Amino acid sequence: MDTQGIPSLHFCRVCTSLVTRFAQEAFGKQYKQTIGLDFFLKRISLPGNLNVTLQVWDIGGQTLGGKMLDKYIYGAHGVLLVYDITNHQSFENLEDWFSMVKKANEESEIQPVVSLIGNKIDMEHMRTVKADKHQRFCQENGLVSQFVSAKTGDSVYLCFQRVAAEILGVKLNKAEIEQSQRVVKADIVNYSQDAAARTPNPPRSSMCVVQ
Amino acid sequence: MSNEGNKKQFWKRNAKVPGSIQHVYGAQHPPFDPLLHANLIKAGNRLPPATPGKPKKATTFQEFESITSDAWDVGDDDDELLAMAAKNLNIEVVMETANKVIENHSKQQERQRQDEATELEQTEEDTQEEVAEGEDGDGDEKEDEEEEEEEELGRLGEGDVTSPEVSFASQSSPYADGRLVKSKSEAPIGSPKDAAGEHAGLHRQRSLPHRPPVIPLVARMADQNTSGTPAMTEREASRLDKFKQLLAGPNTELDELRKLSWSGIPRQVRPITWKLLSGYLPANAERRESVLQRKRQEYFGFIQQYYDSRNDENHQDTYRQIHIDIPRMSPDSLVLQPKVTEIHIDIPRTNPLIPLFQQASVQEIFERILFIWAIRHPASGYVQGINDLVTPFFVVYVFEYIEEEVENFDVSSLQEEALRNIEADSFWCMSKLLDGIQDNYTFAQPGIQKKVKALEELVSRIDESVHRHMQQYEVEYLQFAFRWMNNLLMRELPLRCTIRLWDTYQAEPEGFSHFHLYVCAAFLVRWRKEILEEGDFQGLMILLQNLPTMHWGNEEVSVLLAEAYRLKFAFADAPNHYKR
Repeated sequence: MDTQGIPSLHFCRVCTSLVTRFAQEAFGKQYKQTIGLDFFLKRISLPGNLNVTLQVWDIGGQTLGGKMLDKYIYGAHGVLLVYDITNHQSFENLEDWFSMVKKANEESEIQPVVSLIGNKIDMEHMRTVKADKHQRFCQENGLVSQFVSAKTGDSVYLCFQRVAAEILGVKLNKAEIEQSQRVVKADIVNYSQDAAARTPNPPRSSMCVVQ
Repeated sequence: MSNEGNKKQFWKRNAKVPGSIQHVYGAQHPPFDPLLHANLIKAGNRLPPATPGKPKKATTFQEFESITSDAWDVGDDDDELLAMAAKNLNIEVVMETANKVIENHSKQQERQRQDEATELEQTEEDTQEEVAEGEDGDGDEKEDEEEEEEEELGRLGEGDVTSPEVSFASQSSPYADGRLVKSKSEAPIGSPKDAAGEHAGLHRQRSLPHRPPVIPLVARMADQNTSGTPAMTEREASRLDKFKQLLAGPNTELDELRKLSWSGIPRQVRPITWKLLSGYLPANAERRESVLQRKRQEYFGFIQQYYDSRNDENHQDTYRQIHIDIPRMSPDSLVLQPKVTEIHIDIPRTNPLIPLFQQASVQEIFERILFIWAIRHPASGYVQGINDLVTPFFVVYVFEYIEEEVENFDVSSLQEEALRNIEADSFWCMSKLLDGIQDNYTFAQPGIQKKVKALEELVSRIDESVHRHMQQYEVEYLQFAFRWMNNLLMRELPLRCTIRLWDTYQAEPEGFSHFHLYVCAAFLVRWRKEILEEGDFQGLMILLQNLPTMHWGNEEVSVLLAEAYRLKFAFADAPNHYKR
């Protein structure tokens, strides 16, 4: 139940949209609820001709209640915690997810790089989670702070790239950051139907794992 | 039910004002009773044992032997062979034994050749006959339930009582009398599967490259074959006649109807047959109309009473989630599109948006059905995946009112009355279905956890190499099979196949809750070749999440069901059969 809706016909769970955006570089073409787990592969480039294949595990919201989460995130190298900046509840839910992540990896040798990602920055005018709240949560827990828009694709590639770089201890310089920000172009967003009026703020937050 | 008293108490203890609705708890929320909550967690911690719990009734080996005695050839002379083995082996005995084996073998081969020639055509009838026999002694009457909310709460209480010990092996088979392996057992145990697998494999190879640009989604789903020939074959016509005869009587023999339905229901009679099999309609023809009227009224009464509350604080999360899920379920639950990944990038993507599910009035129907169901079932509430389960009912019941293809059908051309009937009927039938698998959707989804475990256990016994291969690359069953259980394979199969599958699930006792497990096992093993070809974790995951079933039709589903039936028969009553 962690879905995020975006006020357009292109309903999506934040995480799914983010991942799909990332994996397919196309937003809103084909979304589905994540049931259990969705699995993607994506190749990205890091400085120094370093090519990395990411296994992206998109985890369904039902997972939080079940015993499955361990199976999904144990041993993950990176975890993306995604919430909707226009929906305060989704931010609050992240605390649950985050403690689950910590617990699941208690006995693991690798501690995942965790990134806190505020989604829907294209909806800045409807923001309900203040930026300094976001920053404080990051500082307190040592998370990589990022903002994206899964809808426009803004910073999506970068957000995976940054986490991958962090995991591998590679430094991204400014030029590279700017370059990847340009990589993903905004797609045509279909506002045609009346969904905008009907889907205000879906409540939950979600999580992806990069392994 | 044994804990009738329990239930009553439970109900009383928690009952507030009649009709007052508790906050909705989904699969991720703990139930509202802290006591119960604690129990559930405890129960959850006590994971079902890796080996299935002991069966309800201890079965001695003799009993087992006697109930399965006809599973083997009469001519096998096992006892004799065993006795001979016990003697000191001398060359004479060895030769005699060898001759016997050769003789048996050639006899079998001959039989098998004959069998194989007819098997493919006969698969359906065979299985049907088997079922027919099996059901003779099985008078499982659908219990008439009126007090659903009460039952619902009772069931919630039951969850922790039954959960630790239930696994596929501990559920008693309705076929305990075991009179029915006959036809399949003639052939060596692995061979029907292999033949089927080979056949299907070939079929797939051929059809993959020549995949038609637009794949019919549901249009032909009701046909009895995938050839696309519109004309009914003689066999289909006679089957339809049988159905019509059965349905025409003043009292429909439900057992007969199940037998007939097991191998597929003709499109023309599917709506009424589904309603009868699900227990929504009474077998007595005279009562049907009044029951329908009452039930439909009752449903719209719920809407009147509760639907406005969807924006209340208590329910807005539920409603919002449903509202988000509905529009985006249409593309993928109707056809399984291979997702674009690096591996599958070369597969052309058809855009399977079915106009039917893009229509606002259809989406609203789904929202109402799901919302009402959710608030009437607080133990589970709305859980993602349940939304998919409305679709087959809805599509089948639309067929009751139209002749043309369903994909491009504009629902606004239906009479309002008809649309309301479709909605109410879909609601009740979905409710009946969910009643049987409710623990799939309660807190922590224990039903699914158990079934995935059972699947793993089963696969480890029927195909060790597949099981070991997945273990080797650390693929967990939960990672792919959670969805198989949560959405009853709907995400893995095109809708037309789901509908055909449900014909059998409704004909089979405990089809959705029990038989589904064997279908999943057969489904997994069906891809053994592909699975064994994958040499790493990610390759396996991509394969298992995108199994190429786009071209599947009734034929493939029938093969799958026959295999599932064989597995069920071989394993349901014999938890240790073939145990390593």
